[in-house]
Amino acid sequence: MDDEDNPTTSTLYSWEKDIVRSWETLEEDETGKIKDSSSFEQDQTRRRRKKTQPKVRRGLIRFLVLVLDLSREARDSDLKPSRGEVCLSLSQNFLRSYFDENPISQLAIVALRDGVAEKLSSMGSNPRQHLEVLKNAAQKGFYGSCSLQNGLDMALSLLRSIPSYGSREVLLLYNSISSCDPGDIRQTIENVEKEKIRCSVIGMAAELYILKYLSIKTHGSYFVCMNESHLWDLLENFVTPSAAAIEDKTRGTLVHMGFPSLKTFKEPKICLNDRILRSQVFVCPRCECCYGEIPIECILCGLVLVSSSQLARSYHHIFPVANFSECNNNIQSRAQVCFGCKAAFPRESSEYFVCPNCQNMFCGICDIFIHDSLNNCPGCETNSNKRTAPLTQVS
Amino acid sequence: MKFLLDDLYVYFPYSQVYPEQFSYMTQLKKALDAKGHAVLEMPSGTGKTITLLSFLTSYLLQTQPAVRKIIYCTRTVEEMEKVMEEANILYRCLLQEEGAVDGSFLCVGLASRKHLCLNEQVLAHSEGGFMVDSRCRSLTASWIREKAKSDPSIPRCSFYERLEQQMDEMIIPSGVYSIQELKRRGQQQGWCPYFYSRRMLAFANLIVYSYHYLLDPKVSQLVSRELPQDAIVVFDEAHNMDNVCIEALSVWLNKNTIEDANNAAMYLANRVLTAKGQSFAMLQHEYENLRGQTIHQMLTASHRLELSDWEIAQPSIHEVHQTLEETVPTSIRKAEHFIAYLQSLIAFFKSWIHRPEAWEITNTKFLQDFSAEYPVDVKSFRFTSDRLSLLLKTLEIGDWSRFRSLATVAEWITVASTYSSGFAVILEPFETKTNTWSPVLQLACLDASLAMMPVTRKFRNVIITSGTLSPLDFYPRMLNFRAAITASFNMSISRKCVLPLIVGMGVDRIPLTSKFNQRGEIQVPTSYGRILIDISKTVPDGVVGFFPSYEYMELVLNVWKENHLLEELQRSKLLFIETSDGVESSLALQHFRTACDVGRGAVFLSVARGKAAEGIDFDHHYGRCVVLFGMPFQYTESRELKARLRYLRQRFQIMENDFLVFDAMRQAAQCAGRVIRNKFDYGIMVFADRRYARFDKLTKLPRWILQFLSEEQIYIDMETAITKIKQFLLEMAQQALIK
Repeated sequence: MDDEDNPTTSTLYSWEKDIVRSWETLEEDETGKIKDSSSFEQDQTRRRRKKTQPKVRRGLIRFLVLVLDLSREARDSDLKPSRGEVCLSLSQNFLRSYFDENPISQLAIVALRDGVAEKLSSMGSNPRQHLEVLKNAAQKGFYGSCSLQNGLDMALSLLRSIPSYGSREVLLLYNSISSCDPGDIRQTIENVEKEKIRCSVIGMAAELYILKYLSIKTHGSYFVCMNESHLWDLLENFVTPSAAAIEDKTRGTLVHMGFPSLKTFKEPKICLNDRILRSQVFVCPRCECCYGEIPIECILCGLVLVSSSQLARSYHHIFPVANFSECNNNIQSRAQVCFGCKAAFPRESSEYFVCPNCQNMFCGICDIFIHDSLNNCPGCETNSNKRTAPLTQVS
Repeated sequence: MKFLLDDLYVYFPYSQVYPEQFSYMTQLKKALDAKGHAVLEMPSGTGKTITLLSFLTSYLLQTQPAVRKIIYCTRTVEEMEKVMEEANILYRCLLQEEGAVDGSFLCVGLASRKHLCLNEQVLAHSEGGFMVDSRCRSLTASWIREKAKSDPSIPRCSFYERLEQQMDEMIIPSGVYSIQELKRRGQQQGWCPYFYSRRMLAFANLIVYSYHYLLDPKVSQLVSRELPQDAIVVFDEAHNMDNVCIEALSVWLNKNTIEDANNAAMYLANRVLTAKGQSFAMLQHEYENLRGQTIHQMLTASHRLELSDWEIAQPSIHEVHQTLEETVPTSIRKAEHFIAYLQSLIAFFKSWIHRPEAWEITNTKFLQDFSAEYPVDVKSFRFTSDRLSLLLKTLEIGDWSRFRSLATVAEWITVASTYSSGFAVILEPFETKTNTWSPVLQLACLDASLAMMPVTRKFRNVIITSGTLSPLDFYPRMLNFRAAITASFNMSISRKCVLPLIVGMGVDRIPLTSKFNQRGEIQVPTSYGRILIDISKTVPDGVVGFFPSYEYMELVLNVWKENHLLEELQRSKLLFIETSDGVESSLALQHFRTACDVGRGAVFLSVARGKAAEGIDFDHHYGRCVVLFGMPFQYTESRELKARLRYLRQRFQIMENDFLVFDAMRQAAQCAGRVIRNKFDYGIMVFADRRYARFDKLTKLPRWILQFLSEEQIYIDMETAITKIKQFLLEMAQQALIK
């Protein structure tokens, strides 16, 4: 390692940095006015949701390895303050959303730095522990080259022991435009493919062939981000569980799950997961082991311990609310007020959305709220006779 | 798919036609209807081959008997196989269309024995394909087979024998016979695929073979003479057409060749002296015949014309002088006299090649000098090659490999005497690179039209096409024919998939140039180094760099090494270099590809006019970016080029500078075009020389590159270029991944 690679020499003065052409990101609409970027974003979310299809199998119990490339290319300042910093801070946001949406899933973090893969945190479902690790990850600095193979090998060793009902995924945030590997990367990719691990990549600079190859082979996806907000959009894609791989023809298996009871004891008990004495613990219904947090797989009897609310929060991914159809031409037939918020439509000509099941009409804001947060259509819920739950296999 | 173009149904194997393909067909049709020649430029990767094939085939099928054959010429065997694949796709499409093919449709690819031979005995001693021809001949020559009939100990080729037996009742089913297919069938049926394909030429509708079979007078006599005049000839990838033509007629002699030829002549002399019994009678017979018959009758009619004897005819350029109708001059009719003449010729060459200084005279002057020394009729020079082959045949010599040098000498004198102008005899005593004494006596052809003329005169349509032919008016002028249609087509694309950048300034705004008189300065090579480092840090996977010459590459690499730029470069990418050694280069190329495949990223440095610049595709991730270090001008001090430039000016009124710029720009475009091989590809082209920004050079780039070149991409410095490259890569990545 030479001087240039020294992690302490870091930030540049603003006049030393590259020019940021903020004016270039502005877009004009057809009439020459500057486009309202918020409405643009609304469009984006709606467009993305259009792709989500109901009635597909989704792996609800996810085991994700988040691989972060913290090699010397992470120092590149085309994202401010640097690619690495942005990656880390957005990963924190991602973690929060991930555990919010997938409470019964787990995650591990691996960093690629100086040619090796470094396990920052092992598989677990405690967001606090992971967040802590991510906050400290930048302290060592970004240096050395990046090895995709080592990263995949590490992910492979983390995921190999995962039971078959879990969906195994790797998400790579890749800053470099090359990979410096000790061995044959093709072999590693083959191994990953054999283990049915889905690898998805978000690149920061340009399309790299080997990453594309990896994502195609493992049925993952590959994106390259343009800027910070685009990166966050891309990361959000991975928050909801993706549809199961098509060639995965294994039939839905039943998974034993236990709902532990939260008990308070007078004398503290040793929690098996972190060996800390606690007075309030979750007790496994089968073997009565104590745990400080759930979800967790019981170390003694192997039962998966979850709470019912966690299960419910993951559940809606299987039954997404059907996409509302967008109408803006037939204004006459529109209802006076939005069915959701009961407020009048803001403008005479504004568009409205129709639920395909209950035929109620909603405004744009309610549409987004229903699909992103509520996960139920109020129209269908009130009219429970007609409610038709789509039949879907749960894996 | 089937659609109507004017009054012609065009069968097209794909469900849609690009607009440029359609306009290409329209122009093609105009040319065919006018029975004229055409020069058409269309970017590679827009499906040029299939457009040509499907249109021409449709034309052929519907206008028979006006057009009876299509002859498709490619440069290399690999390209030929690609064409055959496309032809196969087309053929399957034709079969599906009702009533498209009434009779038979036969498409055949022709390659040399080296690629087709199945005989293990031959292949075992082939020394990498070098000896296949003569080994084969020694098994299949007519007199050897004649002898073998009585003496079973003489080896024969079972594949050939079997073909010969079944030849007459053989039915050739319709289809596309590529090299692989021919070999497969040969293996199955026990036929010789080489002679089988030769046999098929007469019946084939579509013939795919190398340029040489049509342009090289040595070969075209044997293979292409029988082709009908109402055929359409296509030269694909024809941007180096003039050089191919010139090479076909140029002959080189060095010290070893002359020495070898001398030995061979001595051997022949001994054979003739000691010839007794039957051989003697045959020599007598030959002499008697030569008095009465023309040489052509002798060569063809003396034995029953068998397939294997086709090979035996030697370079002869009868079409120019109608020598076919003349008898051999008396001075060389007798075998002894002929050999004496050969020996004195070799001695004359020897005296020439030992001259200490470089020399250049015209071919007529050279011949005059020789005939002054050895009193023989100038006319008899023309018969040298034919007379030699006749003699070898009379003496029943099967193994021709030992007479290769002698044949070269004979070819030299035959070619030199056939044409009255357009040639120069150049003696170069020293090798330019190492400055060691290794004299080469070259018969340099200066006029590309000499080889081209028989083709353009004979065939009804000649179509010259390539990705880079700009400026289009140059080729008809240089090859001396009238083009009915010249057209260049844009690439129709929805996205900007090419980013050409003309970088005029390097670090510290040093003007970049590879000009010869500024090569001593160190700043330019250092700047080039920095450019390459910057690019390899920004561009993923493969980067290709082209230098004007090996000398310049060496010079630049030395500077990089001294300034530790190489180390810095190798931190981001691996470095591979093409050398003049073929094996080494292909190994380097193979490793380069592996490095790109595994994501390590690599740089491949090569020279313009080299193998990589001509025949190798750097598509997709193998070539995301191509950098041209300097302008690939030819080495202007070479005598050959000087002679050619002078000739071009006198004969065609093409100015020296015009030709040099044209040549440099077509090479540059050829190098740059390596990175875009189809529409889904994208790539960056960095022209790192300020001279590219000049109007006269800029406008000579092909249209499909110019269409992507906007004002702010011309004469920029490296920092701006890198910003543009970054933005381009991001945009391309978005579009490439959306699919």
